[in-house]
Amino acid sequence: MNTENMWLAVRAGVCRIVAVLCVASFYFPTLSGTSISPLPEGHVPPGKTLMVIQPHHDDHTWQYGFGGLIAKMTEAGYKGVYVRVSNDEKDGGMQNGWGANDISNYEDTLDATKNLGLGEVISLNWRNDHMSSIPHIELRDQIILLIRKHRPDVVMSYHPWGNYDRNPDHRKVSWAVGSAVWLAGFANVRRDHAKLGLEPYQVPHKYYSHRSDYGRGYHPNIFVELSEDDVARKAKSYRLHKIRVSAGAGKRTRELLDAKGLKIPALDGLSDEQAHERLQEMLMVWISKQRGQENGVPYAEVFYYMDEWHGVPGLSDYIQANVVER
Amino acid sequence: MVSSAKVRLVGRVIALLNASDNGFRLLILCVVVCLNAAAQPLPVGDIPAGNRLMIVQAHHDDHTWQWGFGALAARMTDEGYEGIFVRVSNDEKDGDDGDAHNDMVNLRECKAAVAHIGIDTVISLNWRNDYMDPTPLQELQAQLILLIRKHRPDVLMAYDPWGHYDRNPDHRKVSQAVAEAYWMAGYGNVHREHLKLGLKPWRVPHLYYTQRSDYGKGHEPNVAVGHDLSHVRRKADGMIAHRNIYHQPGTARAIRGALREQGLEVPDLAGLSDRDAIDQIEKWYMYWSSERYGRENGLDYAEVFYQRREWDHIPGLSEHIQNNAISR
Amino acid sequence: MIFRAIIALMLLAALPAVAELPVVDISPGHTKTFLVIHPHHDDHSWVSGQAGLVTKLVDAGWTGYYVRVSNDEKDGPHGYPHDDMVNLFEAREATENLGIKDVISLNWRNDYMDPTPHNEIRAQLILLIRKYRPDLVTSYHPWGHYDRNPDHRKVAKAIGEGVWLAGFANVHPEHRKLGLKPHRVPYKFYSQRFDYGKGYEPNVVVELSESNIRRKARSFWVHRNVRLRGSTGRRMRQLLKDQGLAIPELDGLTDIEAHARMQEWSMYDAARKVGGEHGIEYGEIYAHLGEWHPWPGLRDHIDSNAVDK
Repeated sequence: MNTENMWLAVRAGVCRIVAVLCVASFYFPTLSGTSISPLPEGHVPPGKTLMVIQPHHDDHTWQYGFGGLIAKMTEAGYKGVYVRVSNDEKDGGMQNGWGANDISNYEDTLDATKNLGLGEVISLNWRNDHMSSIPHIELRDQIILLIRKHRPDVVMSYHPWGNYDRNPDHRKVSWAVGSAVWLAGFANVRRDHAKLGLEPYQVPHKYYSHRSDYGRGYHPNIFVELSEDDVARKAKSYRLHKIRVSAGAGKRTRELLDAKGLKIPALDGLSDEQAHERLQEMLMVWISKQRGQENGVPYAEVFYYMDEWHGVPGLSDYIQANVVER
Repeated sequence: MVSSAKVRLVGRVIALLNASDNGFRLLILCVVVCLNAAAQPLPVGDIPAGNRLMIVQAHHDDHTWQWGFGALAARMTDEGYEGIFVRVSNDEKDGDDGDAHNDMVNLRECKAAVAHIGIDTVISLNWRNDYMDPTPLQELQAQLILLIRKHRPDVLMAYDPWGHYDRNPDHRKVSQAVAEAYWMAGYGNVHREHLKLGLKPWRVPHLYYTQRSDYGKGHEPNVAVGHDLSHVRRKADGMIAHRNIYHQPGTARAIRGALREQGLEVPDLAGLSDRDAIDQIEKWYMYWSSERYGRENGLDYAEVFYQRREWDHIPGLSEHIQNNAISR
Repeated sequence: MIFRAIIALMLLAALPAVAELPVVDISPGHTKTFLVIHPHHDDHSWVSGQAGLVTKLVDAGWTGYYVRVSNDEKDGPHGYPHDDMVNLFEAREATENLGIKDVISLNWRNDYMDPTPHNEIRAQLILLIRKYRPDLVTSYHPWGHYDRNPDHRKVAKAIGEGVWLAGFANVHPEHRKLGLKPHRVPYKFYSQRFDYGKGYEPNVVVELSESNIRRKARSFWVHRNVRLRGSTGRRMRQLLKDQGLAIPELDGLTDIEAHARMQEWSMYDAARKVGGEHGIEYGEIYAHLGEWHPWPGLRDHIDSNAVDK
């Protein structure tokens, strides 16, 4: 076979294979995963301090972030602060009252964030699930103060436009964070901070996430690869919030399944509390694995990432097009 | 309209096909098939098991518009559901007869209109129409939590809180309150005083959101629900029962005037009075949207929604159950 | 041949998924008016809009007005009242460069608009719309994901509602006593910062000439108080230096000149990119709502059924 014929034969063969895969992905959409192409990979940026700002005690770690990324960053030497904006009074049983929920959720947060390598928890204690009457400016300015004080290289929060509509605290806090990470860099905003020795500070790296089984609102633009250890720490941190592992929730899930004549064999023989714990762990690993699969790695988390050039439109492109090494 | 760039691209593809061997032609065929496959229909949803549905919307006529819920509600009430419509505003701005009169007439017509789709209870919260920004969201949310715990609906329908129907401030306010209330009504720690009224926490198992979907992104439907011609008819009847605002010859006159300025006319409307023309246009919208969504989803008639089901409150649980649950 | 025709048709049908936007025509408008409504003095000219569209409208004979909703007190180094004043003067100069007739300032507090009663801003905008009776309003998209700037979100929401409610006699009926009748704005062009994720979907592109872009870029620069500051250039160079990088064309320039060079490049680059995606040289993209938009489905009905008289 001469070279030309060989090339034609190879080309015909490749075309047929690609054609089969195209048709297969039409009939088996899971082959292509939930996103059509993998995201660019994100790496731990240079820096020393990270700040995670969320309304609730357990929002640092849930299926959609940030536990794995936090574990990676603290492994790489970052020191971290967790800011819990609400008082979590509504998250827990009714028998001991709201104050008790606040205290026990706060204590669990200390353990859970320590497991991820975070050194400090700051609680702003705004009223949980009652935040729409809170003056936005006041919350925003508290966050500006914290940013100027701690000067984090990285801030993580829920995406301000994430369609996680049901939880009013998330929307309120993420609006405030979205504005604060930018306004903290302007000397004219809260000029009184200068009297406390707090200079303006622009946060270079922002990672936003949201619950992405909730429709549109944001699109992630990077994935971060996680190790098995990162995922294990993430799952453990979630479980350290005792309210997330409750007999009541396990019982309710089993009852609903029972009503439909179904059961999950992996939960057979377990108590309701153990069943809920096992389910939560499976779900935590499941989503990290799914995101990994979509991006060609074993485990991953995905984020909407804004880098240090993002503040000025077009600057990123300009640098990419023109920069050289010195 | 097809742009010249598209035409040039297609021309290049044809030239390529002419010059190619069969393997390459097969590849091009499959790429094209896949591109077409990108516009796949939505999964078709069934009517969930239950007894009671609740529609919560800002205005008297929001139970039935092009984008829902009329036909879905009609189908559910046919299958035994009892229905409640909650009108959050007082509709004072909607009509020509002055604020108080508009409120009264619109409420009366609302009761007649929802009867077409099988709903027999209307509750009006009477917040100020088109002036809801100062309405405390917390207070509205609390009212809705109370209603949810009292009526314990199996299905809740509302506008998507993130739906880009930006112009109508009431929709945005009310849908935010509904989204929060639907979830928080299930928590014992929220408004614990309701227990003293004998109202226990209640998590609504099924939620349907819609939005006006010619308004850009914001909402992505995930289910199509089919219905038949009788449901479309009842939906259209439900809409035009709002005579105070829809039976307005001025609207037909404005549309005809704007068309005339562009040298156009719609033959269907020729010879009709402005009153009859507007009825024709309103009915046409209803049929148009149901037919269009039906066509896109392989059904005769359909409405599309963003639906959340009883497992969807825990991320991944739905999928886990689908993959792992077995029959007892 | 039939097989190839079928492939071609399928390809044509599938192409909307990756397609160009329609190029919108700007009709001559010697009796027509437009309003550009934004929170800040310089929002009329940035990479994502609106200056290119404005120059096209003015070139076609339209009369335009710029509404600055905030007082811009935080934007600049001179202190609040001074920055307010300087930014307003520069807004007048910059918009005059685009051909805009006048600037109206509502002076709400810059970067402190959350407590501003939404209904009050909206009422002011309804009054302006009924007074000027614009055929076109252009602004930031109410759902645009420009999350960081609280003023944009506040003002865009108010506009989103204002352009619609201004058409209802029952909304602020007292305006009639001032001789101001209801007015529904027929055309709206919304934009957002498009490197900020989703939130809105543009549906038209406006074709621009080099003259439009040149005026747009110049209007950006006229805001010397905030655009000709060395700090951005300095910070950019320092961050690059920390990473062992540099941009050769900035060598020898002052920090201000470096910032200027980068911004101008960006303005042309954005317009060229948008143009390239839509088969033209330079463009701006918008979410356009036309005159039939208030009635769902009417556009389709007219397209399917209207005939020439």
